Amino acid sequence: MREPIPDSALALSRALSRRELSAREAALACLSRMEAREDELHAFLTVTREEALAAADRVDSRRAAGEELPPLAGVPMAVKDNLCTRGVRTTCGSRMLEHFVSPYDATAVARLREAGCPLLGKTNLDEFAMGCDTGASAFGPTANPVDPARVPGGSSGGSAAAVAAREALFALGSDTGGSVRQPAALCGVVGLRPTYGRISRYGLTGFAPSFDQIGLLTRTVEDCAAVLEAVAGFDPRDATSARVFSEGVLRAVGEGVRGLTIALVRESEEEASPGVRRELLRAVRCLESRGARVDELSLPFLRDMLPAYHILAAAEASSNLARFDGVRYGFRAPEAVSWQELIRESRSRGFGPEVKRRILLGTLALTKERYDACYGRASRIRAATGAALREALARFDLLLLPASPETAWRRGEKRSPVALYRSDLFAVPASMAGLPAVSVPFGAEQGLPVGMQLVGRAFEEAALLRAARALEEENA
Amino acid sequence: MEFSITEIAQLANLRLTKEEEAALAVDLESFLSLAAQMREPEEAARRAELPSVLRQDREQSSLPQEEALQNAPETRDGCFVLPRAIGGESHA
Repeated sequence: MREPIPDSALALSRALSRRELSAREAALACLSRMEAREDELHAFLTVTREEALAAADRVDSRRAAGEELPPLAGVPMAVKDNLCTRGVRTTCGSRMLEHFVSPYDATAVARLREAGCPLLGKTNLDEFAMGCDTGASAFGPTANPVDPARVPGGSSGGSAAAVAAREALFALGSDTGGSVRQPAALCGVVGLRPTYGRISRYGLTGFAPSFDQIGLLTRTVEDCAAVLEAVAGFDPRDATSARVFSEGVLRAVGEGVRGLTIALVRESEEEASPGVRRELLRAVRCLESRGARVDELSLPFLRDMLPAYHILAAAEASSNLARFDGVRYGFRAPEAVSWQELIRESRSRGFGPEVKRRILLGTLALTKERYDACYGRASRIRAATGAALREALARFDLLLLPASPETAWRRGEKRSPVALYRSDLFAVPASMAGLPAVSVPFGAEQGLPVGMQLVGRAFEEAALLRAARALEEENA
Repeated sequence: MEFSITEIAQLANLRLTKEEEAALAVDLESFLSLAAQMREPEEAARRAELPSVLRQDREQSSLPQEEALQNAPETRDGCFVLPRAIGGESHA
């Protein structure tokens, strides 16, 4: 029987550097955990066993040769299957890309490979990251490790489940309108959506590029800071990546919340389920008792942001996914006899229902007749609410609200698309404004994890993680 | 119904079955009624001032042709192969 490995990435990193175990043993422990849980969970779409072991062996030989290694060397990771991985298929949870093998690595993946993190495999997601329960994957749903009869959230549900089930020490996800924070909340792990521009999006399959950001799913807040430092930073291949430093986040995490001013978003209290509301108020007391000042703040436009977000994201998706035409890559309808038919048939058979729904919604919102009332108004709401959030963050260091209005719901529960979209209610403000936000496990409702969310100023992830660490300590 | 789902699908280059059309029309309709509740902001907001950063306009290496074509469903002599674009079905 193999000894269990430490739970957190940094604890494993310390054990590896003290040579209490080898990177190969750590990778094998994760792989045997996957063997034990995957039939039930289906967090992974592709498992890269040989590749993970080869990468682990390289770390072990470098360590044996006395090389100085990066802090995460030998810590096994999982990657959401909409991030390109050279030589390993990247499906985006879609029949459209079932056999697509990227010729290059996403920058975030490349940086972690260089840091010595063995890739265990690619995780399940709602098709093209469009969904909030991982039920819209073309390859079947993922179960929540806390209660496999329930959804893991989404769209990064595979990444969240893999980390919650300890199959991987951490995972990359992507967050357009909450796709990292909401599954992190539902599975009881830490989920960070960094500031737009903090992590290069090169190699992330675009859904709505003005919102998309690569996010991190980890077991602890410190792990989150460590992984952020490893992947963040300017990348000339992503024109929206920012020239800002990302060091010092990990060092700041333990600084406590004394002196921070935090705004409790009043509307989130009204919209949350009773148990989530109870934990929200407990989080307020926790932060106050540790020396933060918490005041209430009203964001009356919160409800307007949800449809505005969905219109803008769908509009971007409808344009963005036009590239799937059966010509350069992806599914091709083999019997098409004309170019027009090739495009239409390839798309109609390659895309699943949720992707079609969003493409159609975006197309409708961009028609001449609807443009101003839909896309135009949604853009104006985005600008106005972004300005209001920045103004609020001039007065407060952080905003506090739950990551999700409710805990994990039962799989197979019938919900209309519009009802499912509501799951993003508390996540869209940070997405609309490009602000960093983190979900940290805090308490439970009827045994199911609740995630508390903090939203901060652009590029001030350190303050976010300090407050998240305080909540994590209370939760322990 | 204030829009034609068939026309929207045509614009999006999607072919829908009758069942899909019926279901998606209902979904879009219910989403539009939600969108109709969006309140117009009282005043136009100033956008965040973000400077544009341009890269140097220099030649750089890209994917080798072989790798760029490796995922194409059909290629010949380093080119993508397509059915007839002109003289087949007329453009919608």
